[in-house]
Amino acid sequence: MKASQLSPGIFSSSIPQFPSHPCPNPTPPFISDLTDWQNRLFGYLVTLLGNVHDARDVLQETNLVMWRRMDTFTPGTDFGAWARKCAYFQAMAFLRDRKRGPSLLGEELIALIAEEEGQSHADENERKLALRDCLSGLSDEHRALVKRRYHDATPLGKLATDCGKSESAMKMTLLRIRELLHVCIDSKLKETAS
Amino acid sequence: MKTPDFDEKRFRPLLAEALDGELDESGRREFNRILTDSAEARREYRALMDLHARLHLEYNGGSGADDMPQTTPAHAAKPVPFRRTRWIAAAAVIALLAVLVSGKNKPPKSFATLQTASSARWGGGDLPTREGSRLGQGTLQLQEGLAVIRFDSGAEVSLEAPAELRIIDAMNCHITHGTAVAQVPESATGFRIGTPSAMVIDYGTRFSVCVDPESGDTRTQVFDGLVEMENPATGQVVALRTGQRASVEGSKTGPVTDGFDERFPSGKPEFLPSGPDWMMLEASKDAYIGYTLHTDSEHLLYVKHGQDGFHRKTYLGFDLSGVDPARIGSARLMLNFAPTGLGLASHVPDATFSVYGLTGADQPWDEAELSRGNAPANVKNTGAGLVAHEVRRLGTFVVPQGVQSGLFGIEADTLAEYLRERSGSTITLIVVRETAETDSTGLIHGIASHRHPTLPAPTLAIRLRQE
Repeated sequence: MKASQLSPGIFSSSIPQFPSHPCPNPTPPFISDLTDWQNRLFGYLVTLLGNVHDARDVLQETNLVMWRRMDTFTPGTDFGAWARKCAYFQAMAFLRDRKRGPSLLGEELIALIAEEEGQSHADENERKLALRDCLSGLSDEHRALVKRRYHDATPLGKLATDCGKSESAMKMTLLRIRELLHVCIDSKLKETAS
Repeated sequence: MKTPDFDEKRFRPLLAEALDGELDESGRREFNRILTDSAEARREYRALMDLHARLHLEYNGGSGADDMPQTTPAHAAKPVPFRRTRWIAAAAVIALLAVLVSGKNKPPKSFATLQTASSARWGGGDLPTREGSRLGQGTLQLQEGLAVIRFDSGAEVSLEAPAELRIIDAMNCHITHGTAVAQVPESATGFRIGTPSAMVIDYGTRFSVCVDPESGDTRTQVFDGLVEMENPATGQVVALRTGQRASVEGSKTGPVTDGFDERFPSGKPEFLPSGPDWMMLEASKDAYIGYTLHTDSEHLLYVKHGQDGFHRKTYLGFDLSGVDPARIGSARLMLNFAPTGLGLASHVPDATFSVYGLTGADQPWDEAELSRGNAPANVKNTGAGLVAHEVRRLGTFVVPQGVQSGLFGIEADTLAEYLRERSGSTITLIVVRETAETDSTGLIHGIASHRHPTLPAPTLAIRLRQE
């Protein structure tokens, strides 16, 4: 099996391989770029793959690939674009390689989303601080829910029972909290930008 | 007010399900359709998925709780059981898919047996690690010891720590890093071991594959028989016969060489720099900042990424005056860890530490006066936060969960480069723990200070080039 339209030359065997051209070019600060970009790449991969678990695995593979291919990065060019491209190809390789159930998004949709994913303009640190601010701005009840969901990894069924809700109502509550957080973070970042 | 160009009423429950549950086939189809049709829906999806990822990072440093399947037992607090439950939940789907795809009636769920695991210590893989366990698709992370995996095809793979092996099926596995020795009978001819840089295909033999944890470079040597090693980057294939070896390094295939090579990265030699080529520079000053109490130590430098402001970061000062930049070849930072007696190791997973160097002119600081408020580049009340444009990350190292003593540190070109730029002056290095504790009162790591009565001080070992 060789080369599909979407990601040229990705696969000729069952391990993810790196296409010969698409990762354009780092410098000595390559490593700091690489580490600085970890959170953003993780978010990017979660978006493409639809879950945290796979994203973590693919991020590891992506890091390895970027390490191996760092000579193909041209210093001074957009590291983020290069890194995202690497991550994208690894994600596609991962999806084709795996023999598990279908991924959340179809391949073409993933390609579309990957393409639309623009440069994140906000500083990574500011984004983190904004998230923290917004978390502390949540109601106590909502904040406790977020903590139980993300920190304690409480099963959804238990969260729902404890709140006297159905599971689907619980999922909607969590969605609503995330929407609130998103709006809050967005406005904070706009504030700092202006 | 603007109304969205997609059906929010339909979309939001699907998005909620995608985030906190698992969409079924029809849900997934509709979700994909809405996203494909609407750029606005995609924006919404991207924003919330990215936030979802950031919340994971915020609460777990990215390593903790995973997707939250409803089947998760309430007591489970580690990521491993989640993965396993996910696997089980997905098994039905896999089985169905396998039938559709391959036409086989009963695809096996497991392909191998963990035959022996002598004095093995395991990391965070997602496969069972008891001797005799049947193994399906998944990953084994061996931190110490030796494990023998017998594939149903007859191939036998001894994994030598530290190593990570992914089982794909009875004829395929993947080694992310570490060393494996494979014994492949005729029944398993064609057995393949993938690595980040190569694919090794066996034709009935005994051979070893060795993958460098950092570069992903692969070295293969054949003890008996014939294997082929393919370099996927170039498509080049080399055949290796009894007594031959070759490597794929930096995506280039090296020559086929006769004879064996003893350099196996898994050996992890306790390399201690010594001799006239090395210049050993002890920290001229050191201190830690963060939350301090009566538990303060004179002898140990604390490092902790805690919760609720209980953080510690360590600052090291070195005097590079009299060091000729042209003579700095490579460099290594050596830190001796020792138990602080504080905090629970159970609440701190394998911990990644970063070493940063202060950029710009070195800022003076006094080891007796250093505090959260005056420490250079410090972002107050963060476990690992430093002012990004005032520091450069020089390298990272990992201290496995529960390990409190031993020599750790970094050896990196970035460090040597940094020292070259700054020789002649004083420098400041900052050690932070990137990995946050998973629950409060997590372990505080301790690094021997230059005041420690018995342990060596934080030391820079610089390999000098010939003049």
